[in-house]
Amino acid sequence: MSAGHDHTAGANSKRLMIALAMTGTFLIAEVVGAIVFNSLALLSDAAHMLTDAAALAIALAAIKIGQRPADDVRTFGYRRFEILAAAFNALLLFAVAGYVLWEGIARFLEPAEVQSTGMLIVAAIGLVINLIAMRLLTSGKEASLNIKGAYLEVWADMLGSIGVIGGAIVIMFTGWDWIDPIIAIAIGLWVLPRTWILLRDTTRILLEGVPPGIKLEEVRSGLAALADVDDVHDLHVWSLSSDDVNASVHLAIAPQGNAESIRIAATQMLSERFEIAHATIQTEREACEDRTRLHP
Amino acid sequence: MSAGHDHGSENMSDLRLVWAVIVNVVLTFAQIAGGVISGSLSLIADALHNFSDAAALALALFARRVGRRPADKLMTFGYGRAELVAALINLTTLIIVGLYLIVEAVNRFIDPQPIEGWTVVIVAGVALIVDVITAVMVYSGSKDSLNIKAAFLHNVSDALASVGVIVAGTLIILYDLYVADLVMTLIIAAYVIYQGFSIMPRTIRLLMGAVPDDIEFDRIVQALSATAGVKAIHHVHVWSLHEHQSALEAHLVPEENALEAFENVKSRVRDMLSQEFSIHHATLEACLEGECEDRIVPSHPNAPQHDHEH
Repeated sequence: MSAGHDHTAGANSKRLMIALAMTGTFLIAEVVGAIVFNSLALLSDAAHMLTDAAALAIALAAIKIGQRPADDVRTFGYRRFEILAAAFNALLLFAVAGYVLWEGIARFLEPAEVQSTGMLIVAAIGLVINLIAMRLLTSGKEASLNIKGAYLEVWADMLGSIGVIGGAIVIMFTGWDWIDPIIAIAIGLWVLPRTWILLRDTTRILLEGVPPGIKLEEVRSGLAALADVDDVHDLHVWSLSSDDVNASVHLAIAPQGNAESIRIAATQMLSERFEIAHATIQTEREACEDRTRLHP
Repeated sequence: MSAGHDHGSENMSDLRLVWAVIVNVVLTFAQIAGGVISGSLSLIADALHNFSDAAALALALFARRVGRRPADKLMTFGYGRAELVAALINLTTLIIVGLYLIVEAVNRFIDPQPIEGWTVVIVAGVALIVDVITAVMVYSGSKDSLNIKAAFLHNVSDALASVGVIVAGTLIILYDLYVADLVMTLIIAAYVIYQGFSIMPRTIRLLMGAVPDDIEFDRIVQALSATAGVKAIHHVHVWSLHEHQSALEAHLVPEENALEAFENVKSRVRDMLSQEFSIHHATLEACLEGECEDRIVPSHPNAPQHDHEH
């Protein structure tokens, strides 16, 4: 978690910038093509590309803003902006998937004539662009929910392009226009569960839940096992962003214990064993009244 | 609910929200049935809009109930922030609905569809009555809860859209004034989007873990430093656990280097925070030998990827 990370944010933002530039260029080309060739299908694909570009732009802005230092209003810094961006992306994706499902059903009931050659060419170019964008984002997506959101968006688009290519070929040879909405619905159903997982992960962080990978019980027993610690209570572990864990805890110290050395030992233990870099530890002689509160 | 908490949003019963959801769901099904029987597309389209209302209210209700769950091993601060996340979702969909209204209106203007006569206006009238009833039921709760306010705005947007259909429909039927639809929709959409953006910043601020807007950071730092027995303070965080409750973390250097003496300092600081700033959750770290950092706002972001050597 620590060693390889030093330049991730910079590398990610550079990659995002390239992906955004490509998607944006293709978007403009698609809109021009849609107007010149008078094609509605191209225009709707351009709309999908627009959500892509927006997702990338939001992810990029989140990284830039996330690097700002803490100030008197945002004392934890701006890193959580990334999580909000990811949540926003998930919602956008839900909306697009919903629209595709709705439109797919409508088209299925009333098939529209599809111009398969133009559809094939544009979808093929879109596929190439999406594949390059995905390649650029792959390395950052595991460490950052923000990049993961942008990646999923491009990924959905890539699958869409493959579906459209397959559909265009089938329609070319058979003339079955109803293939088009079926592919659209399949893509929508394929993307939705992944979007749900993204929204679930971001919600967990926004609710200040214990980050995945850390068990509250283990942190508690780790603290209780320190020499001269009588009692551990009011323990909170939460994360600001995908990889930035905070903790706060009350430790009751035995009469012979040295509060300062226990505080330092606890800070060190949390940082080494659980990678909790930011801990606030309230040391006390007797367990305070907070013990009886509902906190776990 | 437990007695000690001051939940500002609890001045409206859940039952009202439940009824608001039921009324909107019933209207949705009635409109779909009516649309299928009469073959009116506009009825079905309006049913869809009503359904989005019902969904927004249901989400608000769900979040409100989740928000009351006590803290557990997963959410150690409790689930109160569920309401803020629900507000964020409802505000985002509100803005999307606003943009969608504009796109639809432009499409209709470019390619005008024949209006299905007075039925459209009558349907919109019925929908307007239902929306106004729901809005009145929910209004009292919307004043001090971002969650309920966001759902309420969905309702208002639907009510305004119905007004738009009534006015524009009448003008089109009587005078063939198709531009009325576009103008009405643009005004309504602009209002809806403006409303959505106006309470979004506060929601984001709370979710970002920023200092709550009714607390001044400098004042709290001053009050902490001024407490008897406190030599110095640093590393202060104040943030919202949920909309109506704040938490604080701080490192204190006491004047006396003994943990026993710190107990007194601590209880004084706690009383002060709870009385003057209504902060009931505070974690105070004692830096007894002063081997600590000296900034009042710590040098976050403290994540590994941020390099401190510039």
